[in-house]
Amino acid sequence: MRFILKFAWKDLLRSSRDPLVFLIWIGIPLGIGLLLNLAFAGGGGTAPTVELLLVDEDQSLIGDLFEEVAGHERAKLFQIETVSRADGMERIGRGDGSALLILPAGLTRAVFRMEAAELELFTNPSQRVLPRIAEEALLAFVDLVFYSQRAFSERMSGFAETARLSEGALSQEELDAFSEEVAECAALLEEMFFPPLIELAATEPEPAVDEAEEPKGPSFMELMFPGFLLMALCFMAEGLSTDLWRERDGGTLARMISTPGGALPLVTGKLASGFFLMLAVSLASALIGASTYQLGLAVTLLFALFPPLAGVTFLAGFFLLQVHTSSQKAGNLLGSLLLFPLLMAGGSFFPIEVLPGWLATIGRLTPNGWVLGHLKSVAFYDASPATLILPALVLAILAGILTKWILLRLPRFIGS
Amino acid sequence: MIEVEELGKAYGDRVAVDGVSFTAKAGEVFGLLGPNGAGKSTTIGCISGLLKPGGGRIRVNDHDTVSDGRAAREKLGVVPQEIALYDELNAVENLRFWGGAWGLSGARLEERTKQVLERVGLTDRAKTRVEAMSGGMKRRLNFACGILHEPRVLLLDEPTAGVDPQSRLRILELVREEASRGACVLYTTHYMEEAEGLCDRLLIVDHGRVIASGTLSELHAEMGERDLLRLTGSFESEAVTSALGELEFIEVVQREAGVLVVALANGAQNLPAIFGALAEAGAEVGEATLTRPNLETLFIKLTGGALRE
Repeated sequence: MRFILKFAWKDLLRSSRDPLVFLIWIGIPLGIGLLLNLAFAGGGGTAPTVELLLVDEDQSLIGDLFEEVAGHERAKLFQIETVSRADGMERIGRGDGSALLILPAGLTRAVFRMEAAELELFTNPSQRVLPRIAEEALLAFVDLVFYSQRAFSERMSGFAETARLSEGALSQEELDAFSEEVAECAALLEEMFFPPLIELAATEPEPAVDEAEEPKGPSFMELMFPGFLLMALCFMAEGLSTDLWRERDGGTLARMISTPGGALPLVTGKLASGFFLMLAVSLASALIGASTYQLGLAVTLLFALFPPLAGVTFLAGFFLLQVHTSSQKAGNLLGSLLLFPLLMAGGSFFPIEVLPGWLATIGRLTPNGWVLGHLKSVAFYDASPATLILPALVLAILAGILTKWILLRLPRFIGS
Repeated sequence: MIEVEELGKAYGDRVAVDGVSFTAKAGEVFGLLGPNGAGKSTTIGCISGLLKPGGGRIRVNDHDTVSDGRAAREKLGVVPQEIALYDELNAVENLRFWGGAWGLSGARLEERTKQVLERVGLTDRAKTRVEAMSGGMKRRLNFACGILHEPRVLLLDEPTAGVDPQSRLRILELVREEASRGACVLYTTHYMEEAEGLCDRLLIVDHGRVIASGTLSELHAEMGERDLLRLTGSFESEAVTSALGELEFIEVVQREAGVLVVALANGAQNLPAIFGALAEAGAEVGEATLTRPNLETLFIKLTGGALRE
């Protein structure tokens, strides 16, 4: 064991002298993860706001209704500032604000009496999008008023008659009744004006599995997290495997075979150094995961220890691939050709859970998909950590078989 | 010592080594020569354990390289033609690694590391990474890694290829020192003057077969090689022609414009007779040069002048 560690130390030293490569291996999945996060989970940022200057010369119900609708928390698009006509004209003239809307005197009366009225909208020419939004919103509001007139004409005529809007001689009782009617109407209008954007027609299906086995439902990014980690390790495995070519071309591999221990310590030392490098990456990822997704201690340890074991087996697999190729170029090409489909199908670019059924089936059969499945089952679906013992054993045995195969092939690899 | 008996090795239909046999003894530098593709590298590969012999037997210090491979390799030191070092590591780190691979550890490893660094003249470069070293330094370090564990048998595959004269001189001195301490040194090179000056015995192989072996003198004798005597002066007279004709042990190779070249066996012994005959014939000798045929001419004669690659 000490002998293997000596050999591993040599490769760790060499890796430490070229940290950029190490950072690239980790950087690729992190970059992809960041892009996917932005694409699927939103990237935050500040929504644009229409700064609307409002001149309410009507000083009545429609002006209030407009302010209510445009400033509603579900609209979140308008920032309304009530100004005088002169002030509004002066400000929009110097480009202060997105648009200026003038509600003329007598607007409410005209609406309730089904008479024509003219609104004035001045837009800021120095802005392109926001004034358009103001225009569209105003047209929508006009439509709303129009359809309200048609839908509630009887009640609105009643309001007009009862309230004698033009004279302004309402009693306190009339005002209260009027307010109640308006509130009722506004409540109705609100539902029409703010329909749910997307409504899920949810039907509760009969549970197909036992309650105990039912998934907890991890978030999209939680589902992606182990995939990114495995992606980083797969990139590392593919990159580290090409070191066999450097050893071969530099003559160190042939020299090593002439030593008493032969090539066994060299290959196992490379696997061991790969394990330590992957352990460092996994540990860092697990700690990030623990703080971001509030993973428990057991799951954090699982993320730190199980993936490197899988990564070493992948490394042995890539070593085997390299010793069967005729040149480093061919080895790199073949490695990439193998790696990307495996990552795609195996749940590193997209969670297996969201893949089409046939692809998900293939993905679960890929080595990385198989490992990912076991990892997720314990991390997110309440499977016992003990269920990982068998996969870990399978991985260790597989790594042993692959190592033996590599050693058998090495003399031909050196002579090729 | 190295004992190779009827070694055979083929790659598919191509026979690389066909019945090569030789014995290299402790304390001697044994030269293995041959053109490219002759079978030298395959022979060395079989001795070092890199290749499995297709036939025959190899013993390194009485250990069979196939049935007792580990014990055989423990006695070996290898200095390959490539600079088989790790560029990212410095001189000491490389030495520690290769020393460890040959079973050295602890104080012994540190002591030997220090010693060989001094011997190859790299003590002040101990912490320099290989990638920052010159070609000569790399070659010397490559050599140092092969002798670190004081091997009983040392395989040197063109250890001076492409190095500066000073580094070459140092490496050749080290080879002699290794043989002096009792190591059996198997040396391959394409520099014939190097082999001529260094090797106690030589084996010349071609097309996988042994075509000549022995000391340099034995090879000359075996090939009937003669010395060349080159004289300058006046040799135009009939008397000189007649005198030269009477010397049966010489062959006139060139006779023109004041230059006379004759080939003869045992040149040094026959010089008085030649000078005597020329003096009697009235010839005036200005300058005389006796040249023994070198290994290169012998090698070309044995292996032919045709390009091999």
